[in-house]
Amino acid sequence: MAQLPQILAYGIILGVFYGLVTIGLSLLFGVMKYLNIAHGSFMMLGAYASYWLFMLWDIDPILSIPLVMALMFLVGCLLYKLLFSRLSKVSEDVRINSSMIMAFGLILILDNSAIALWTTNIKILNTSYTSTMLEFMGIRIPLTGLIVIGLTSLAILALHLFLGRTYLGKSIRATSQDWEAASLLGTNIDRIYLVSCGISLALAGLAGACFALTYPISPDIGLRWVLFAMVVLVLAGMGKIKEVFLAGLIMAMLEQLSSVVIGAEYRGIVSLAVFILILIFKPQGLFEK
Amino acid sequence: MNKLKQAASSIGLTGTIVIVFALALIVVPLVVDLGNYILTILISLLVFVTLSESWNLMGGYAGQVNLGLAAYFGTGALCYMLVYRAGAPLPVAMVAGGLGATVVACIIGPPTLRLRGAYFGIGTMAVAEVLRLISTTTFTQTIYSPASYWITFTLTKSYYIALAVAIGTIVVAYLVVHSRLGLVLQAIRDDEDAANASGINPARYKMIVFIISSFLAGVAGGVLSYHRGNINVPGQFTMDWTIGAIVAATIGGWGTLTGPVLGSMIFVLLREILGRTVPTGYLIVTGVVFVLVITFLPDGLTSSGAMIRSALGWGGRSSEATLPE
Repeated sequence: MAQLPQILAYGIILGVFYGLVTIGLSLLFGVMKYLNIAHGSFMMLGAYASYWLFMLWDIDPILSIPLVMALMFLVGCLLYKLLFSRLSKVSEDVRINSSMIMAFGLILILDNSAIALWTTNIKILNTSYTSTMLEFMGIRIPLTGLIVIGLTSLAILALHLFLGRTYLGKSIRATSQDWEAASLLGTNIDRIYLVSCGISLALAGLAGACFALTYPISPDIGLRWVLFAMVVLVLAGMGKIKEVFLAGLIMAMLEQLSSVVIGAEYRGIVSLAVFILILIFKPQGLFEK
Repeated sequence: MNKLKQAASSIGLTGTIVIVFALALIVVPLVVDLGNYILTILISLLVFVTLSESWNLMGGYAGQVNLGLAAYFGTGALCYMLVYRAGAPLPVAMVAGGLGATVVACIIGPPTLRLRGAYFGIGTMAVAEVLRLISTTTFTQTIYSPASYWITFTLTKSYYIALAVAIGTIVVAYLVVHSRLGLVLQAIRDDEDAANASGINPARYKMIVFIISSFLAGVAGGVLSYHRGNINVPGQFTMDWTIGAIVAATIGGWGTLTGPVLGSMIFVLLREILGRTVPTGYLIVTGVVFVLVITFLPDGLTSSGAMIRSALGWGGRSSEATLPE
């Protein structure tokens, strides 16, 4: 048990990361009632973009983040224009199912294109600071983990200010509460959806860039991580933004603790089993009163 | 002769086509030697027909998207193999496979089917991942059929088992769809509030059809294990099976009985033609076809023309679900 603080430190980094992967998914669900299960695959795309920008043009992965996010924002707008806008007129239940199925097709295309282009071999982005460890009261913390936490905090702050202070942000919140009322009051719903889709994928791009900083990249990370993102989404309550990070932390801590108590190979099983139990007893999410 | 005509007219054109098709599948392998390659493809096609019909019962008719079909398929394959190895006769082992899958359905069904929205999809996906992880850590080696199997096995026998199960699945789906249960399901899919207000308990009916659907998927797992003679357990639980079933049902058309059959044919054809030369390429092409079909023909290929629709009679039943308000 001596390594417990060490494990909890890793748990915090993992938890923040879970939150970061989930937040774009949650935003899109909150505003549009689309469950984009291809979110993880877009994160994979962002991770590869970050990787290739570093390998080909030697751009530091932290400096390339704005570029990756801008690129993914455009991909998001394109995605909305080409595919998702077709679902925006149907009722809510149908929207969830149709977006899941459409995203399913996107997963097929994106994941297999990644395999075809970059093979299934694991890619590791190696910067000068990748394996730097900081020591703090006997706990070793990877520098990249701290960078991820810092970047995520920045992103959350920016998103919070954007949704709270700007006109566009307020319209997005109004649309997520009641799109019909917002539409009657003169909000251009189509534009709100377009921007939300772009922001959601830009956040997926940020998650991808952070992923490339900390973990090895392979084409199957999308499907693996989106499941955890959806679990966090349900734990936080569907479409909630602020609760996402708390739910992510709980999930990560559970995983880290079970890897100590039961064994590393069972950590995924334990956290998902707990998720299923929560689904049985408290399906509205952990924070619903 | 007159009676025959009367019978034919009461079945209708679609029914006649289906029966002729089924008869051809039954008779042709007896008369002509199709060769091992064609038979193997046909078996694979029939397994996909069974899987996608079972998915379609839940997704197309009840409007519940199951993202973890592989769990029921894999559990079915595993239970079949374990029971068969224990010395049970083949039909018992197949039923055991289906029952095993039903047990899994009973775990995740009740909590998620009470709720609306994405809970069922996420819940089934999580269960599939848990089972995949458990099976990967528990069964690291391929499980082989008992010695008696290898004496009696022929490819033709395997083909007829797959055919019987596929036809059985379509018959079950037909009976479900044309019963009160089927009507109730479609009512729930189209408007759950209205169905609820009419005194229907949506969760109960969704659960009934989920049990039927997972039983069929489990039997499909048994069929494939019988055909292969062994199972590599982690391989039975991969997402690929879910993908195949959803792609087939969606390309063909949700909420139609012919859709999954047509979709399975296209999926297996794409795989056989492209998969030999460009293994990942075929999945990209499948994905593109899939997205194109959803975008331009949300009701699937069975709705691709008024002519085909009226000729088949069954097409486009899900059109109400995808039309704008």
